[in-house]
Parts: sequence; C-alpha cells; structure tokens
Amino acid sequence: MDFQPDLPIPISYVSGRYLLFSIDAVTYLRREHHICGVLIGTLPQIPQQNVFLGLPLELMPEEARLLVDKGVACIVDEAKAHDGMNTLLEEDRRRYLRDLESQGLHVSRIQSDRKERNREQTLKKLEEKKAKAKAKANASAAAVQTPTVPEEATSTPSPKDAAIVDIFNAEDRSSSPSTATTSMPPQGAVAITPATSYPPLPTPPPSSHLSAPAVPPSYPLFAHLHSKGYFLSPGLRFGCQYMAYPGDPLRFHSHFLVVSYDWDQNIDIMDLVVGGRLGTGVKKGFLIGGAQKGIDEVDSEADRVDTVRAFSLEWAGM
Amino acid sequence: MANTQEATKRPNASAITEHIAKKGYDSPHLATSAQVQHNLEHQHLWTSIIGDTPANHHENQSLYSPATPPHRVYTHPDEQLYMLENGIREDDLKPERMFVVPTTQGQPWSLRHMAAVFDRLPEFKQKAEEHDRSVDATSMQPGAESLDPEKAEKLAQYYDKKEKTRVTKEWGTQRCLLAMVDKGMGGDGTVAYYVVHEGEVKPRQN
Repeated sequence: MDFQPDLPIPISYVSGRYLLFSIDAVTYLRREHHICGVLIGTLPQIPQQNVFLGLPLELMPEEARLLVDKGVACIVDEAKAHDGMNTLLEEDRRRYLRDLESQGLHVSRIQSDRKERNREQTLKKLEEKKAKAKAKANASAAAVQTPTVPEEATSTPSPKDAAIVDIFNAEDRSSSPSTATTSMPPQGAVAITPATSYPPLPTPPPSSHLSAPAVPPSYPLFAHLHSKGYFLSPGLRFGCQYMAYPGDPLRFHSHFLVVSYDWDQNIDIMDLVVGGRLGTGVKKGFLIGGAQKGIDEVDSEADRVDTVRAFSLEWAGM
Repeated sequence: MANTQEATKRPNASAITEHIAKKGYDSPHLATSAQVQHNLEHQHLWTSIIGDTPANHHENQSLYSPATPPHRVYTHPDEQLYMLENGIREDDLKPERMFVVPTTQGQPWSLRHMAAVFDRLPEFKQKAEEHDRSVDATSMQPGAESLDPEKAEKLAQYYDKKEKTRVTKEWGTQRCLLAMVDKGMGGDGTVAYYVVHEGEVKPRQN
C-alpha cells in the first residue's frame, strides 16, 4: 500500500506557484515528510464550491524549499517541460492512448463487477428472508421448540459481513477472472484524465531543474519547527504566520500560532498581548521565534536553522 | 466674589504614584518594576517578593522573583495529569517561585531581549534559592508532619519526578511571567500577565 515514488519528486513551478499534481507524491510527502500543503483544485463545472478541494496541491515556498534542501524534491518549470509534448513520437503517443484505454476498461470492469455482485447479494438476502419467514411459520405451526433460535442468530450477520468485505476487496476480485465478469460484457471504457504527464514525457534531467525557491525571512523558524516533528500549515485564516500541529492535522488540533521575527526586529508589547489572547481563546499557545544569525553571517539557510530560538506565550489567567 | 470661591483641589495621587514619586527612581524601568511589584503584592497577594536591585539590571530589563501563595500560576498539562493520577492537589504542594519580567507598552522589545532574559534566568534562580535558604526555611513548610504517611510518600515521589523533569523537560522548560503595564494616556493601572516558555511547550487545555 505504501507507495514509494521515484526521488526527487518533481514540483511543478507554474506562474509563481509550487504545485503537485500526483496524488501518490502528495500522500507520500504527507506521510513521510510531514508536508501537507493546501489542496486548491475545484471542479471545472462547479468552481464556486470550495468546501472540498482536490488536486493540485499548492506548496508554500518554505515547504518547497525544505523538500529541495532535503533532496526529496526538485523544482521543474512546467511550461518548458511540456515543450516536449510536441515532439512526442507517434508510436509513443499511440501506446500512451492505448494504455489509457486499457486503464479505463479496467475501471469500468470493476464498476460493473461490483454492481453485479451487489445485485446477487440483494437477491440472496431476499431469498434468505423468505426462507426465514417460511421456517418461522413452520416452527410456530409445529410446536414451541428452542434450538432454532441460536442457529438463526449466528447465520444472519454473516451475509452482511461478507457484503462489507466484498466492497473493499472489489479490486482483488476483478483481477482474477470470475464468473460474474465473463458473463457481463464491459460497456465501453471509462474516460480517464491523468493528473500527471510524466508517463508519456520523460522525467526531466537534473540539469533542467530550477534553483531552490526563494523563501521569506520566516523560513528558519519554519524549518526549525518542522525538524521538531510539527506539521505546519499557512496561518492566514487564524491570524498568524503558521499553524503548528503536533501530528497530522487530520488527527490533531494545532498547538501553536506561530509568528516569526528577525532577531533585532522591534516587537510591540501589544502584539504579544494580542497574540497571547488570540491563542488562549482557541486553546493554543502563541509562539514567537527567529534565527539568531542573519543570512550574511552564515553560509546557508540550513545553518541559520540551528540558531533559531523560540518562545511560547500563554495567558497567565491573572 | 471670585476670591471667596475655593479653588478646586486636585485629588491625591494614587498610592503607587506616591510611592514611586517618593522613591525617586533614576530609571523608568525601575518605576515600571515598582508598579508591577505593587500590583503583584496588593492585587494578586503574592508574598516574599525579592525586589529588584541595580545589580539585576540587564539590557534595560529588571528581573525579580516572588513566590505565589494564593495558587500556582502555571502547571504543565502532563504534570497536571500526574498530579490527578496520584491524587495530589495543588494545595498540598510547596509554593513555587515565579520570575517576573516587567515591561511597558512602547518599550523596545525583541527576540534578543527575550533570549537575554532566559539566559540570565538560571543565575537569578540560584540567587533566589540562596535567598530562600538564608530566610528561615522551616516556616515555608506547610505543616509536613500533619500529613498522613501515604500522602507524604506520594509527595516525595512527585518532587523526585519534578526534579527529573527539570532535565528531561517533560513538564515544560524554564519559564517566566511577562508583566505588561499600560502607560499610554497615563494608563489605568492594569497589568497583563503572560507565561513565557523557552522553546515549544504544548499549551494547557484550559
């Protein structure tokens, strides 16, 4: 189940944004590298609905930079990379289309298979019900006998369980030729729209990678918190720079509202009160921090991360 | 007629203003400290406050360290859990010294200042401990002999654990109290208090 993509993962650079289009890469980065990003894709037909967004995933420059520095990802200029699409060989193109078609057929087979199985199960249940009703009628007609009851109790839940298991195992079943699939002719392939263009296009060579993304001054604090195992997400919605979660945001509430300062940047005392209040109001800490050394004092951003100091504030309740 | 009317008398200044005026501090930071100290002592009923001395000055900051008799200011969530599991109540524990950093609105403040405060904290802690030892230590004990042995055992374990967590930082890192005085437009005497931890310390679930 754990998919291991080829490293480095190409991050698409499109008009100033860092985007990921492959769901495998997205899940891998979230699972292994604690990078969540923000899903920004809507449905073309209903662009207003923004409750549930899908691919692509937009990464903050900080996130992209972190991944590049770790050697997990590389930045690819999307427009340039797609120039290759014109020079694609006719044979490659046809093979790709055939591949898509076979994938579509596979999907439609799974769908029809599942439908057929559901139908069978419903019929079976109906029959069972009928049989049970008949048995009950017989039993009451004959005499008051006990042994039938426990047998019924054990037999009834089993078809239900089977149905649940079957739905989740649909893929396994369809891959092995079963009687249901052979009896049902596939009703045309489902049209598949691939999210990535790397199967037809060759993986871009390292020489064509863009340089590491430029990052805001808050990067050292971001990298520092990330190295401590926190999941970070943009904090604009919550009135701060980053939200820091102690684990996956789907499982945990965040711990901190994070704001980064330069080492000698003046901090208004009132800002501390404002942040502390805001944090306490939502059961979080207000975390300020920054790198002790400036970028001109060290060799690289990575060295600055080691000099980060952070402080968390909470209302004292007095 | 005008000379018969009595001139309006200005009301007396507040106790704290009079106190500050009488002392004649040579630095505004000392006056801020005095105000915070006054607030702690009379509004929040803190005791055994070790007032600031000029030696405590560092980068325009003064630190001082009072004890907190009415209740604890901060309990780390994990420490609270431990106390709950072992049936230890806050009242059973010895009062803990808390270090207070007085600040005022408009005062220059930065991460460098904050770091300096925490770098000097161990030094002040040591000083405060020495001070406590010199004061009669027996009067600080909350009637230890009246406790039943089971509870005393649990408390001893608690203090052991507490000593260990000082190193492991399970129950939070070193912390201080940031006191902020509003002096804009004369101020209203309000002092806001925030607990500041060094590093990332998970928030309380209050």
